[in-house]
Amino acid sequence: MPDSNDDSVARWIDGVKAGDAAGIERLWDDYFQRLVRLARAKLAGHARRASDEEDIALSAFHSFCDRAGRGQFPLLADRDDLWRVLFTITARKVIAAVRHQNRRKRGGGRVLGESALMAEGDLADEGIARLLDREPTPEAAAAFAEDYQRLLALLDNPTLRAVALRKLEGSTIEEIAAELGISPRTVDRKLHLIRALWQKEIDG
Amino acid sequence: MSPRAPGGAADLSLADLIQIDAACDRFEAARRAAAAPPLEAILASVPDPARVRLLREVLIREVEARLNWGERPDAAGYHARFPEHPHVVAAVFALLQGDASPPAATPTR
Repeated sequence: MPDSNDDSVARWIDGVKAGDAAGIERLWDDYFQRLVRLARAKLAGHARRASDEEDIALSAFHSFCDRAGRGQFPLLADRDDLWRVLFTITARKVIAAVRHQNRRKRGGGRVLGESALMAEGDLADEGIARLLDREPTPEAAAAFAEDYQRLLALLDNPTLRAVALRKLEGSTIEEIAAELGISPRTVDRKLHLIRALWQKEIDG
Repeated sequence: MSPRAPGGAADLSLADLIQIDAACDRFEAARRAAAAPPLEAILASVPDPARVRLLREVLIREVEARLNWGERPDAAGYHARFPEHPHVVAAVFALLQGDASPPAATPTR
């Protein structure tokens, strides 16, 4: 995250909630490109216009500012909370965009579905997709934050945790492998284990 | 051990998957230290249900590494070492070499 000072982050989050232009500008500067990268990663492999990821990020950004301004995220306190909400909104926008594309392309070309958001062989995304398959209402955002922490806490191995965090942030298997200095096959194996751990927890 | 479908993990428990991951981590660390034990020793570290999946994982890494070193690993040698798992050996070589030839019907040790 660009800002390591939680107090200052909390202040400009309050500014966003109050509709303050400076807070919104700060949010834009610090998070918009991250949202674009997240949308791009989630759209990987799908036919799309070059501007789609920016459109989705823009839509997510406006949606967040609008909802925050209407007091829908009262529990938003720090940059971790903020990213979880932005992540959830953006991921939902991507899913909606793909579904919309499916409807438009019905009967021709590659059939895209929510499951197609998963990278090939990337089984962990099934569990992640289940996490994301919720409307980002205030209640859902809070539940997502709780799930996020609870599921990450299941991963006591630092490599598993690092893989999960990067995957949740939209990195590809190859990007995660390069960043952690392990092979893509190892990343794939870790994701498979993460999925199993999370699936067991989600299924109770 | 009886032959099982290669790479099938659906019937593995969470404990099996954790053991496989840990065994693979040990194998990969040993490889990086140029002290990798024989595959048979790695396989002996996990119980039977996880062994097939673990064999697939470590065999992929070993064969892949040998190919990267310019070697031409021979599937027959691995069939002889792991006669209980002909489909695993065949699947790994098919994956890495595009060799989809079926394993020997009656592999011999």
